[in-house]
Amino acid sequence: MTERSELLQGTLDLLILKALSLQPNHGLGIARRVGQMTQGTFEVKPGSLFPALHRLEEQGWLDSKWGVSENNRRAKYYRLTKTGLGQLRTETEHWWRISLAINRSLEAVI
Amino acid sequence: MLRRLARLFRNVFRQNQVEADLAAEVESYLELVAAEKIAAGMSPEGARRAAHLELGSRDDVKERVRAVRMGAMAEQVGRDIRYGLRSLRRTPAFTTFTVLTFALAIGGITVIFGLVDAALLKPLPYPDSDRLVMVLEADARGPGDGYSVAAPNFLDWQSRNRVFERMALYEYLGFNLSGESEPEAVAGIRVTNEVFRILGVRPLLGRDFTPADDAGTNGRVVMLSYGLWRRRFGSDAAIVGKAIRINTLPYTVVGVMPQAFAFPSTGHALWVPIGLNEEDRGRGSHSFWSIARLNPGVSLERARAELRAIGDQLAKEYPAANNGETANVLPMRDLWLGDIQRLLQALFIAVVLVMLIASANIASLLVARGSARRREMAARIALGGTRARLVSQVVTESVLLALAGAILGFGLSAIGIRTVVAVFPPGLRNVPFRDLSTIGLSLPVFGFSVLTALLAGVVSGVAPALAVLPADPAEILRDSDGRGMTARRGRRMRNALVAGEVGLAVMVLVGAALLMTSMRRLHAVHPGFDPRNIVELYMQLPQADFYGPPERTEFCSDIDREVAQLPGVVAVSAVSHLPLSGGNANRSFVVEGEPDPGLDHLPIANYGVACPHYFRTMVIPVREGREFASADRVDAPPVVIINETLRARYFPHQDPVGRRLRLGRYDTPSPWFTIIAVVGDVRHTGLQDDNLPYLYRPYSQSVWPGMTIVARASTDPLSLAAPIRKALARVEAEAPVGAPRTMEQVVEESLGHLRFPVLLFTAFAAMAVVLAAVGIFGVASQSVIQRTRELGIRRALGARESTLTVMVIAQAMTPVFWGLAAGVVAGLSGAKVMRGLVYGIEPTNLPTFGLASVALAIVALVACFVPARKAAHVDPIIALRED
Repeated sequence: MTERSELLQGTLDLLILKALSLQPNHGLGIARRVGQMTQGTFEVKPGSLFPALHRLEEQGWLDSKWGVSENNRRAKYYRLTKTGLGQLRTETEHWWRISLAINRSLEAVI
Repeated sequence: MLRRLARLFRNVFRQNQVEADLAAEVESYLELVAAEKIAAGMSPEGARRAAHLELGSRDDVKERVRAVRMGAMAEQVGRDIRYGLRSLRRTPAFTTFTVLTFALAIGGITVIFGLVDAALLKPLPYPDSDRLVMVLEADARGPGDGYSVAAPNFLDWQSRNRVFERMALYEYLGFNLSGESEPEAVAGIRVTNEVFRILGVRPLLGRDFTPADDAGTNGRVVMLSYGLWRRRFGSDAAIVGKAIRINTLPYTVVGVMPQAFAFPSTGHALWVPIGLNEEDRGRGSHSFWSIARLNPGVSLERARAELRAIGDQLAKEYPAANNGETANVLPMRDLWLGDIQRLLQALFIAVVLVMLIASANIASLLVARGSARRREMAARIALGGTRARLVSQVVTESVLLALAGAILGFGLSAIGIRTVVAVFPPGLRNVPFRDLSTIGLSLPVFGFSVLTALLAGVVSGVAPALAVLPADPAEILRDSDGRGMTARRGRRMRNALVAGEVGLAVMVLVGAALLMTSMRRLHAVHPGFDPRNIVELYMQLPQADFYGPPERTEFCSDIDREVAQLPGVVAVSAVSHLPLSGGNANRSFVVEGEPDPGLDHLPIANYGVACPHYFRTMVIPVREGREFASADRVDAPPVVIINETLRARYFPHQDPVGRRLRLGRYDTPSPWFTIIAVVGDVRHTGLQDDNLPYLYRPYSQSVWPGMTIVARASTDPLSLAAPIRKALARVEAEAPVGAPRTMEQVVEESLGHLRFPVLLFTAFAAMAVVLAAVGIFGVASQSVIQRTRELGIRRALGARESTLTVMVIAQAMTPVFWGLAAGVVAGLSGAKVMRGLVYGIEPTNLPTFGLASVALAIVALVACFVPARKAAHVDPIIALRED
C-alpha cells in the first residue's frame, strides 16, 4: 500500500478494523495481519499505518493502551471499540455493495 | 463528543506527553520489527538497519500522524507562531520597519473609522432611535427632502396623524445671558415639551418641560445643557429653582440635561418652552422644525404616505398658504449629514488606499525576505514538508507583524483621533443629534482595527508565500544564486506590487492635489470687499420679545458716536449678516410696475440690514446712487439697496435707482421701498458659492436682533478690539459681545471646511508617496543585489557606468509606469467621490492627474537612483568572486 494510499484510504481503514476484529494488537501486528489476510496483496507501511490508526482512534473506533508484546517488549495495543465494531459492519456491507456493482459493470457486455 | 473534546484538550495542552507517546510508539514499532528479523536469523545490527529502512523517516511518520490528529490545526498555528516570532526576532530591523508601517497605516485607518463610526454608523444615542424621524414641509412636485415648518401645519399633522406616538416642534433662537458674569450670546431652542419624551432622555437635574410650560402658565422657565451648566454656572448642583437672566428677563431653571444630550446639536446651550404667539401662527411663516417618534411597528413608508396625504389635504384646505406644499418624513439620523458624509467617505477611501499601499510594501519586503529563504523552503519541501504548511508559516509571520502593528496603531489612533477632533471644523463637529466632542475609541473600533490587521496580514502574506514557494525543490537547491525560475517569479511579484503601490499612491496624490488646487482657487476669489484692516465684533442686542417691534432705532448713531471717534478707527458701521460667517436670511420681493409673478414664482433675494457707512467701511463699491445715511429714519421714506446680481437678473438694461420694491408678495400690505443704490456683489455664504441677489435695508427702518460691528483701522485692527468693546458697553450695557476677529481671519475660517480635508489628504498623500518610494527603492536594491554577478560580467565586458545606471533605472521604472497608467485610469473612473469637496476644478481634471503622475515618477526615479548608482559601481572582480 504505497503510492495509492490516498485512493485506498477507506480500504485501509476497513482492513485495520477487520484485522482488529478478532483480538487487540499492536501496530506491527496489525500490519502483518493485514498482509496475511490479503495474502500479501497489501503491504501496509508505517507511514500510512500510524496516521490511519490515530485517525481511527480520534473517530472513536479504536482504543489504545500500552501493553507487553509476545516477545516481552513494550508496545501500544489497539482494540476495536463498540462503535468500531458497528463501523466495521457498516463498512463491510458498503464494500460488498460497491464491489458487486463494480464487478457487474466490468463484466457487462458493451 | 465529550471524549473528542478531551482529546482535543489533550492534543493542544498536553503536547509534550502526546509527543512522547508517539515517539515511544514509533520506537517500539522499530524494536518489534528488529526482533522479528532477529528471530528470522538476521544479525542484531543488520536487523536494526533493516527495521529503519522499513519504517522510513521517523519524523515523516510522526508528522503525518500529527497532521491527522484533531487539534492538529491549533497545534500547527501555535508552532507557526513560535517559529514566526523566532525568525522575526532574528531580523529586528525588518520587524521594526514593518510593524511601524503597519502601525501608521492601521492607526490612520482607525482614526477615520472612529470618526465614521461616531458620526455616521452608530445609532443615535436615544432609546429605539430607529423610530425617530424628522417631519418636514416639502414641495409637492419638486425635488429635495423638504424644508422648515409652519406651526399651524404642524398642529394639524399632530392632530390628524395616526402613525406617530408623539410629535414635537422647535425653533432655533439666539439668547443673551447676563447677570452672573460677562454678558454672553448663546444658541438655544424653543421647544414643545414632547421633545424630551420623544428622545427618551431624562434630565440630569430637575425636570423637563410639561404642557403647562408650553402654555406659559408656569412663568418663564429654562432648561440648561450640561456644557452651559458646567461652564457658566460652575456645575452648581443647586441651580434648579434659581433664576438666571436671559434677554434681560429672569428665567427659572427647571432642569439640566446630561452631557451626551445634543439636541439639535452640541452647539445648543439651552431650551425654553415654545410659547407660540400670534406671529408664529401664520401658515406662511416657516421657521420651525419638527421631530416625531413612530408608533411601534409603523414603517417609515407608511408614515410618509400618511403625512403626504395629510399635507395634500391641508394644501386643499388652505390654498393661499399651502398651495403646492405637502409633508415629508425622514429618518432623523439621515438629516444634514450630507457634508460630513461626503468628506468622511472620501477620507475613508484615501486611508484604505494608504493601507493597501502599506500592505503591498510589506508584501514586497516579505517577498524579498522569502527569496532569501528559498533554499530553506526548498529543503523543507524536499524533506517532506507540505506546501500548505509553508504557506501558513509565511502568512502567520505577516499576520503577527500586522497584529503587532495594530496594537501600536490603535495606541497611535487614540492620540490621532483627539488631534483630528481638535482640528475638526466646528461646522462639521456640530453633527445633528450627536455629541462628537466625546469621540472615543470604542470596542467596535478596536475590533475594526484588529480585523483590518488580520486582513492586511493575510493580504500581504499570501502573495509572497506563493511567490517563494518552489515549484520544484530540486531546481532551487541546484540554483545557487537566485537566477532561476523562482527568483524570477519573486521578482515579477515584487514588480506587480510596486505597480500596485504606485497606482494607489497616484490616486491619493490626485485627491490631495485636487483639494489643494481648490484651496488655492478659493483663496484667489475676491470676496467683494477688502478684508484688510477690519476688525469685527458680534453684538447681540437684548430684545426681550423674540420678534417684537424695533426697540432701539438709534443703535447706528450710538455706535457711530461712541466708536468713530476712537483713535485709529477710520470708519465704523454694523451689519446683520457679516459675509462668510454663516448667517443668512431670505426674503421674497416684487418689483413695482411688473406683473404679479404669482406665488410660485416670487423672486427671492438674500437679505441683510446695515448701518450707514457699511459699504464704505467694507470697501464694497457703490456703483450707482448713495449709501444709507442717518437721514433714513423710521419716519423717512423707506429705502433699499440692491446688489449687481439682483440688478442683472431683475432690471436688465434698466436703471433701477428710483424704482420701488416690496418685500413679501404682490398683495402684501406693506410699503414700497425705493431703491437708492446698486452695490458690488459680495460672497456671502462662501467663497465657493455663486453670487445671489441681495437686498440691504437700513437698520433704522428695519431692526435686527444681532449686529456685527465692523471697524476699519489705520493700525493693527485687533489692537482696536479692547477700546471698541469698552465703547460698545456704553451703548448697550447688557449686550454680549463676541470675540473679535479680523476680516482676514473671517475669510480664512470660512475655508475651514476645506482645510480639514486638505490637511488629512495631504498627510495621507505624503504617507502614500513615502511608502511607494520605499517600495520602489527596496525592489530596485534587491534586484541589483540579485544581479551582482551579471552586472559584474557586463562591467568586465566593457559596459559603461552610465549604460548600467540607465539599464537598472529603466527596469525599475517599468512597473512604475504600469502603475501610473493603472492608477490614472482607476482614479479617473473613481473621481466622483471627490465631487462636492472640490471647488473650481473638475475631479477628473487631466492636468492634475498628469502632474501627480510626473511628481510620482520623479520620486520613483530618485528612489531607484541610489541602487542604480550602486549597480554601476559593481566591481567586476568582487562580483565574479561572489559565491
